[in-house]
Amino acid sequence: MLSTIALVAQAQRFASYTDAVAVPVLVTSGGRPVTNLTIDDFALTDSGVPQTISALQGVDAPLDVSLVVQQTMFFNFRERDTFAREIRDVQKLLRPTDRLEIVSTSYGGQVLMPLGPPDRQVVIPVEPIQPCVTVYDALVHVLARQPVAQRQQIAVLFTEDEGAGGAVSATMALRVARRGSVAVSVLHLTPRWIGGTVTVTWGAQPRCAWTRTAWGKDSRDALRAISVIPDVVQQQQAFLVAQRERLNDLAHATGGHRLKPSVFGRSLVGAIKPLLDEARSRYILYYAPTGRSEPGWHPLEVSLRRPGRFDISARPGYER
Amino acid sequence: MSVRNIVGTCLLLSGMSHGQVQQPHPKPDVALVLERYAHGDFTAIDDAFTSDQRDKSFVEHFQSSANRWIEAAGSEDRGWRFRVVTTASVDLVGRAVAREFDRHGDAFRGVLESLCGRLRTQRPSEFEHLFHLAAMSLLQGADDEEQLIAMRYALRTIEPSAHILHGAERFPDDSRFKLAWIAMRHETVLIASEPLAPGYLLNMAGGRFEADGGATRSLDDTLAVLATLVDDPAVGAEARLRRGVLQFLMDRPTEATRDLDRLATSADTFVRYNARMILGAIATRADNLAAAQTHYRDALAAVPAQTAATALAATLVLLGRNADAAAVLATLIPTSPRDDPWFQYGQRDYRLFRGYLTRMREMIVRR
Repeated sequence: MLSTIALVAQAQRFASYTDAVAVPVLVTSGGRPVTNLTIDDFALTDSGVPQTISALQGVDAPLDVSLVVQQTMFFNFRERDTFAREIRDVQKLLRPTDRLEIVSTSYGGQVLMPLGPPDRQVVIPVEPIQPCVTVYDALVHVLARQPVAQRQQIAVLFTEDEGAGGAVSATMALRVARRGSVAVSVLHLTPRWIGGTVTVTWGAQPRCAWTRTAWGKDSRDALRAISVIPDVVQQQQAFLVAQRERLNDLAHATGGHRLKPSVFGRSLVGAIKPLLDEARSRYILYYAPTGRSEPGWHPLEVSLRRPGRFDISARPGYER
Repeated sequence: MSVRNIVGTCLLLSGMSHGQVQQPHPKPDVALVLERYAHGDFTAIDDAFTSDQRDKSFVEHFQSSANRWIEAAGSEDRGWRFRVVTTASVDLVGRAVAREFDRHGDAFRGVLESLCGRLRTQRPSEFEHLFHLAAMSLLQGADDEEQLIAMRYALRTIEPSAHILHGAERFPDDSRFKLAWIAMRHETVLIASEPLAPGYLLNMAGGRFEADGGATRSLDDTLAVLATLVDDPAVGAEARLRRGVLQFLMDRPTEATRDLDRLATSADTFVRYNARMILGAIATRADNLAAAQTHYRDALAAVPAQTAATALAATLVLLGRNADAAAVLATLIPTSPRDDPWFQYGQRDYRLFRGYLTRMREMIVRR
């Protein structure tokens, strides 16, 4: 009710959401979300220049939730049906006004469930045994969407690493993410043995072949042997760390989180529920930038005029 | 009754009581399959080829039955029947590769080798030529480097059974075999949207060994080898593409652009698409988003595939045109990665397999 009143009150002052910058903000006090703030409680600077907040979406805004999943993670569940059950559990957390989409990171991003009502059946296609993982291509499907006013947009990426061989580079994806209003959180999966076959994620070998039957016993044996050579393991680990740091940078730049992998392996719900709860506790500030129009990164700072001790979490900036 | 028999019987009975005893799958009537295939019903192979039967015994049954079918013909028809069996076998192996069937690769690989051996006892023909090209493209699709170049990892040697060598020896004027040999170098089949460290390009971490007998090779050596084919009328465009892409991956954008600009209007859509994609990546890295947009749009015009649409959408977002970006993704008809030239790049000649098979079928069918 309060959020609706706040929105109505601002409508006359604010002509267009499409030209506005949206800033999701979480305000807590003593670890608990503060949910009774009004537009006049907030102050915001863009590149150090104070801005006029044109509209405020209160807490409990409808959510657009995008799950971006590395499909080899099915093997973490050992079977696709388990993954489908996990998705159904996630769907139960959502409200009728929320929307859900599921995008696989395979082969440039495959939409398993387009954005829409959460209560739909998800169909998990049969995938090649070694699909080509292209994380940034898949993220573009989510990030390139037009900003939707009055909705919280969050994406959760489940992946071992960046994958390889995508058409969109890490640098480009970060820039796209910084221009958008989707908060991307990342949960890093750990490499797993899959039925005795070594899964070696080289990352930098962007050789995404459509078929990877890999018939040769010799090459499998060689790969297995290589994978335990200390130098190779060390090199792989270093590369994995670098990739994960880039993913974490993207999460940070969009106001998302890096999620702990220890949560995963038990349930998707365990990883996602806190993000949903947090998103529902966020406000969205809208403003039309003035005083700073140069292209590039624009740092944002949100503060409160209301007295008291508060913790404020907001996206650090945006790119235009 | 021995203990083993008692145990075995108990297990059998246990299985039967739970309905778990599996009935042997009926073997297909291979002669009938081949008759249908020979008269243009190419689905006959699929009808006889269920997922449960794609194992070694099925392949052995197919081969032995096919041989009997050939022998049953009169002398004037045996040659034709052999070609029917060859084509149907290639078709069969093609289905296994397409379905990512990674078990019993030895059996399917054996089919190709057996046919190869028999064809090479005959006078070279256009049919044999097509067979070598088709078989090679399948092995490339299966990523079967062992059979392609017969590289024994442990011994670091090339065996005479290297399939590419078979085709090259029989048809030395076909430069596609030369390009295939060069393309066994890992760095010639990589494609990415930004440069990579040289160590990864050479796949040293992967422990793959050089195809030229163990000598140390550098990326510049690979460029020099590709240079020998860039003006070839048959494969020059692709050789130039792979050289340009490699130079981009080596962070040499000027040299890469020099090659790829010449391919930007190629009649070969595979070449044109990937040339434009890399030119777009070069432009993006130079922050020339307008040029990048042009390149990605042209790639999309060449082949309406997802990777170009995604790259274009990302570029449009960076240009502040979110509505256009969303429209590009929304209007794209989803394409299979199989048909996306970007993903075809790493598969060498596998994208050409359908064409080879079609031509083989045309040569054998009797309507």
